Amino acid sequence: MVQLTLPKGSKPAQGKVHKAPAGAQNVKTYKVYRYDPTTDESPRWDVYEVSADDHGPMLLDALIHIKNTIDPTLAFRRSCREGICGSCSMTIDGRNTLACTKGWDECSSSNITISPLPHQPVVRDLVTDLSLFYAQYDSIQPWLQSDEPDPEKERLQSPEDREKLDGLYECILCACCSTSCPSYWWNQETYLGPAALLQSYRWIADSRDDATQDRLDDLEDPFKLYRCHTIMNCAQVCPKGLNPAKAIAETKKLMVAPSRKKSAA
Amino acid sequence: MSEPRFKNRVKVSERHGSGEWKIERIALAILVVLGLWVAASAFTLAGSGYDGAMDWFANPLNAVLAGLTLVVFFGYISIAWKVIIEDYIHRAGNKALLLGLVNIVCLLATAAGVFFIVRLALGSAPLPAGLGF
Repeated sequence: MVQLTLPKGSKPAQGKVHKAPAGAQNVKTYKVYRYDPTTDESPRWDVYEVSADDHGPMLLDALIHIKNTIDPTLAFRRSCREGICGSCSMTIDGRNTLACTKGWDECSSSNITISPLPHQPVVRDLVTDLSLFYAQYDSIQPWLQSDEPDPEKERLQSPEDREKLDGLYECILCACCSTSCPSYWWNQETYLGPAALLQSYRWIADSRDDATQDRLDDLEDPFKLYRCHTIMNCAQVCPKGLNPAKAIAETKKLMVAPSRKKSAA
Repeated sequence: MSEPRFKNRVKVSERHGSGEWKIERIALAILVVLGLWVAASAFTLAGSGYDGAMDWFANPLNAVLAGLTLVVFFGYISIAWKVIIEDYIHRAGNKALLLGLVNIVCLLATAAGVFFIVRLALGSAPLPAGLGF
C-alpha cells in the first residue's frame, strides 16, 4: 500500500546552523539534508550560511566550499563539474538537477534547499543508492547487437539515420528523470523508468541494431513500459534537455506497429 | 494473477501489455466521438419533455448508440481503474479484491444501463411494473 506519511524516525528535524562570519557579503543560505543510515539518528536539515563571493558560480562550487571550509562531514557525489558525468544529481529547490550546471543565482531566493534524489535509499546525506537504477539500465542491453559480421572499420550509417539518435544518445544517466517520475516512485521495482526506457529506445532507433524485435519483446509488459502515464516530469527536469516521455511514446507506437514480429514468450 | 518474475532485480517481461494499451486508446477515441454525439443529443433533447425523450429512445439508431456509449464508457472506466489500482495497491490480496469489485460494478452498471435503454427503445417505462416509485 502507498505510504502517505514518512515512517517514524525518518522525518527530518532541524539540524545545526552554521552562521556566516560577521561582515560577510552576498550571503546565501543552504538548507541541506543530512542523514547517516548507519546511526540511529533521524535525518536533519543543516543550514549553512555562505558568502557567494567565496566560491564559484555553481551550486556544486558552494557544496565543495561548504565541505572544504565549514563541514567536512557533508557527503555528496561529484566528478566532472561540467554536466557530463551525472554524478552530482540532486534535488535543488524541489527540482532534480545537476549541482554542477545549476548556478546559485538561478535559484529563486537566497534560501536554497538541497536534498538527495527522491524515493531512493540514502547512502549518506546527498548520496543515494542507484543500484536498482543501474540494474534497470543493464537489463535493456545497452549495446549494439547486429547480425552482420564485424566490419573492418566502423559500421556505417546514413546521416538521416544518425539524426534519429539525436536527443537520445546524450543521456548521461544522472537519474534526474527517473527519480522525478511519480510512477517510478510508486513502482520502481517493476517499472523501468524514463532513463532506462530512453536508453532502450536509443538502441531500438539505431539503424545498425538488429535486435529491435527482441528489445520490444523484453519491454512488452504492463509494468516495465506501460506504467508511463505521460506525466512529463522527466522531460521537465532533464538537465540535458532530453525528452524521455517522447522516446517512451515512440516505443509504445512501435509495440503496436503492423511491422512488429512478436515472438513467443 | 501470477506473481511477477525478476532477474537481477529487474522484472521479466510478461510479453503482453500492448494489446491492452491499444484497446485503451481505441476506446478513448470512440468515446470522444460518442461523447460529442451524447452532448449534441442532450442539447436537442433539452425541453422536449418525457414524451420527447421516449420518442428519441424509440429511434433504433439512438438506442444502439446510447447502448454502445454505455458499454464503451464502462469498459474504459474498468481499464482506467485497473491502471490506478495496479499503480497504488501493491498487496496482492487487496489488489485482486479491488480489481474484482471494479469489474463487478462496471458490469452491473453496463447491464442495468443497457436494460433500461432496451425497455425505453421498446416503448416501455424504464422500470418494470411494481418496481417504479
